[in-house]
Amino acid sequence: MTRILGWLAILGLLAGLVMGFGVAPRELTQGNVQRIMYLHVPSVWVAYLAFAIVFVASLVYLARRAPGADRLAHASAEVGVLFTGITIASGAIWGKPTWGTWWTWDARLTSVAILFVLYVGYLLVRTMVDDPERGARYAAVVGIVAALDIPLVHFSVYWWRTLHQPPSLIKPGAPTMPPEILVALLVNFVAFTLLYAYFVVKRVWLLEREQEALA
Amino acid sequence: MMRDNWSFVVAAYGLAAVLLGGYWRRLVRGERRLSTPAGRSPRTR
Repeated sequence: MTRILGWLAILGLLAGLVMGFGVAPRELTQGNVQRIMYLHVPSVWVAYLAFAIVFVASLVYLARRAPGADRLAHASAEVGVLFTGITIASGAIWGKPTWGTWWTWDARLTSVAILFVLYVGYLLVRTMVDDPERGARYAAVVGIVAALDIPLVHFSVYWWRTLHQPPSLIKPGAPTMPPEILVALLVNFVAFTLLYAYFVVKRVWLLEREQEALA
Repeated sequence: MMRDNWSFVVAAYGLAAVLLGGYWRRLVRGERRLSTPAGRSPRTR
């Protein structure tokens, strides 16, 4: 099953590349550099998804002390950090030719940087406490508190004046982009979500085996 | 209209490929390590 998920993720990523580079048209104002969007936007979507799952799994862990929920939160946080890193890096690379700068301390970029640091902290908390049960409990609290930054990241472009553009897709109402661009973006959303699922399933399995080996 | 800036596109996708590929490889290595009996290298199987 995991293997099938892995192959589906690879096929999805290949389809996403074909859609992003072969089917979607060259954007009129930004030119081909806009194609970074097919990497940047699905990455931040996966980061949101990953951290939302950390939030729910952390609540379940605190309520029921279920080790499976803790493993899911741990795996999801790790994969979420990876995709947040990709979001920040691809955004900086996209920002240089379009905004003229790699980085600016506007509300969107700063809140994403805080999100990254919060979840790196979440992973560090687990390693800093000797008792695994206590470490899991502390991490669950961090996982719940850190999730408060997710709406802050998403709505920062509405609440403050930012250099970053407002959301193109995850917003109320119908998308305003041309259909070819929208379809290419949606294919990449699916591909990145499959990749996230594959990574999390595999990481949860590894965490389970590691805990069995230590027991 | 802006220049195409293909080098930025290649850099963004290349960096993402390295990070995702690296993590994937780490998971596969971990899986191999944990499914190998202690004291036996995966290469000798």
